[in-house]
Amino acid sequence: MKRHCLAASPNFRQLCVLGLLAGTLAVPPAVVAQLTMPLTAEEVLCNQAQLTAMLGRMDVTTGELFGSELPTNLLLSYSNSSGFYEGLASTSQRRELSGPGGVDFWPERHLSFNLNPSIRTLLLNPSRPTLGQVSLNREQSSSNLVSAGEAWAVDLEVDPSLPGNPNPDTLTINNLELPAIGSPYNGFLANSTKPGRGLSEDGLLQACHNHFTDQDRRIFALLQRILRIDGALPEVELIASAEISIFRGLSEHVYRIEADLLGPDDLIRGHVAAELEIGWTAAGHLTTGSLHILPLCVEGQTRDCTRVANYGFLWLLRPVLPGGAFWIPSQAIRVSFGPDLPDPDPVAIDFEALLADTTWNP
Amino acid sequence: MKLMLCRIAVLAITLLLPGAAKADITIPLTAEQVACDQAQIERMLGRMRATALLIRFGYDLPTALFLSRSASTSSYEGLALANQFLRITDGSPADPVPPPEQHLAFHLNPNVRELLLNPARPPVGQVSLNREQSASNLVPPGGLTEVTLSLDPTLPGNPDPDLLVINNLEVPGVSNPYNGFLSNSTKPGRGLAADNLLVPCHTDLTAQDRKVFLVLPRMLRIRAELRNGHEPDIEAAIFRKEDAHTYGVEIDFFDLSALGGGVLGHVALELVVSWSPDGHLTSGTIRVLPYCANGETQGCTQVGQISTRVLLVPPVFAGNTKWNENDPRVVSLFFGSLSPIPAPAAVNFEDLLKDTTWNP
Repeated sequence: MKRHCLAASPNFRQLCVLGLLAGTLAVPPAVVAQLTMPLTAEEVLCNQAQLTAMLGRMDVTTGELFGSELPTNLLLSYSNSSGFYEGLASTSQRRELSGPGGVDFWPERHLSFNLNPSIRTLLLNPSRPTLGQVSLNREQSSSNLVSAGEAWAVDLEVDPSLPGNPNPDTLTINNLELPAIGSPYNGFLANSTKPGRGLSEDGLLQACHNHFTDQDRRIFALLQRILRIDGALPEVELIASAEISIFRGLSEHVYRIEADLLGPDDLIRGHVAAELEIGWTAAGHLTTGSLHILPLCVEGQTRDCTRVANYGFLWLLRPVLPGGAFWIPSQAIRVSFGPDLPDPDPVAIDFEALLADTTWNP
Repeated sequence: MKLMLCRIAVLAITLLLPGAAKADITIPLTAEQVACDQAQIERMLGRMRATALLIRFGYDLPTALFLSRSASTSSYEGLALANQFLRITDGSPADPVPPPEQHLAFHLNPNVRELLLNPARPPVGQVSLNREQSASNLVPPGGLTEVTLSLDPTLPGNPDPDLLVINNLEVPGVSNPYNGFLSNSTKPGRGLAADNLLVPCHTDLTAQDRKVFLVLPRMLRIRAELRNGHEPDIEAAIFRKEDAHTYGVEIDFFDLSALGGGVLGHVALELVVSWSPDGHLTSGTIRVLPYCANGETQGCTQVGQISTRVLLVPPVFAGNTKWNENDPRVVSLFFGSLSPIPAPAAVNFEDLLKDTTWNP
């Protein structure tokens, strides 16, 4: 593990129907409002810092293919205005950017998850001090479940402990399938709840603000499915793993991307920052946009800029069924980054075309 | 490098997080908000079922299922437990000795992403039922008290609903036989969405409300004798009332060991809870709301011939210690079986919670 910064009677039915009627009458109507809200610089910075710190506590590992793990993209954003996190760990569909005999592709496998920081503090034993808990949960309907030992097995760990703990009790889930009762337990873990002292201490369990909207959440979830980063590693033509924060910018239509590129040793080998502007109709239908890789970092700058030793690509892909097909690079939008590309021009994006084969942009 | 970046990020968060809002510890609610909360929780309970395994042929433990909102977020949280007494006993020495209560703590997250693996499939709202391991008794299969909680998230009329299911079985060692443990369950929540169960009625519940919501399931217990001599299974909805210090509990009685499974009785309680400015619970009252009349079904009590005792007990170490009804701190209200509704009883929360860390 890498280093971290840390059924019913008539009466009953009648009651249910009465309850339903009361609930329908009393739920407040949806307020007609802007689809997204502007944020302050402090709010943006707070989101960025929270996601960076949370990703720093996360670790993704995969099974082995031809003797080594697969590169991965770990994407993290927010799932609601109350400080829940939501993310996706995806195996990359290739290991090399290029090769003399071509490149082998295999479909991505996904482990979707959410992190709920608001678990009860009361423990079984009432004489034990109350303790904030966090819960890491896999989202089965949007995960590829695989057999133990497969290369596509994805483990996600979150270290919720205080700094300096040499043996942290990590939250762990994976994408292993549910075995049949009585067959050997394969180690599948769909949920993990642990004390979250370290997360609390780091300010990761408190919402920076409550200004995210359904449209923001929709775009966060969408970007997790269509955004990928392939950074080349210096020593060979291998692809780096990436840990990617997705958050809102100041303006209502701007989304931010900050990614650390990691080598097989889990050390940071580079950083890519990008800004995505997205247009939509009054109904929220995504139309066009632009993607801009942020300029190279200047001395001392670590965020809001790009710092890489090798070339790489940021992709916005046409979504496919993970586990069933691999996405086609020639059909995706590709933006290059590299050490001598100081300020690449923004690239136009047609979201309607990109999402045409999906039901995700009604 | 990564460590350094994380430390910088943590420092930034510390400076940027909003300060704790200075607000009243709880907020008065409107009648509409209260009715909406109550209806939502009761409808959700109507879709849930907590069961405990037979501990021996002919003997089982009645269950209790408590549900409340999780403060101002749109989630629900609750506690399912196997009681520390048998469903029925004739006092025979051959009766098994029931173990202490076994708990299965859970929360329901209705905010799970809508996008499915296949982008050609329409997005569908997902809900996730999760056990909270730190507040649950994990047991081996076939042990004394396996508690299973199911939730039907489907639209009405589904003859074979795909249920969300979790249980309190321990995680086996890898390569040991899989015992059926389920700690998380995620399924489409179309029925919950259609029932308006996934949108919170309001956002005016506070951390203090949540504290009360969480403490009550550890203290509130029901003893009753149904007409067949059985102790009932209960399902309890816990919610805030209009007054900032008043909480409601609506409890349905079932007998899951009997055919039919319909509601056999209903108890409505009102608790007034006092606290210091920093939230320390002090004193209060508990009262049983009057017997239902004129077709009333909610906000009133209907137990007929069922002799019923409502108890507030000092919390105990679940799975380890049994609560003692003879503890002098226990608050007990008896009614039903031709007995009148009792007068409200005083509650000394400081005393009831003095052996806990829950009331600093």
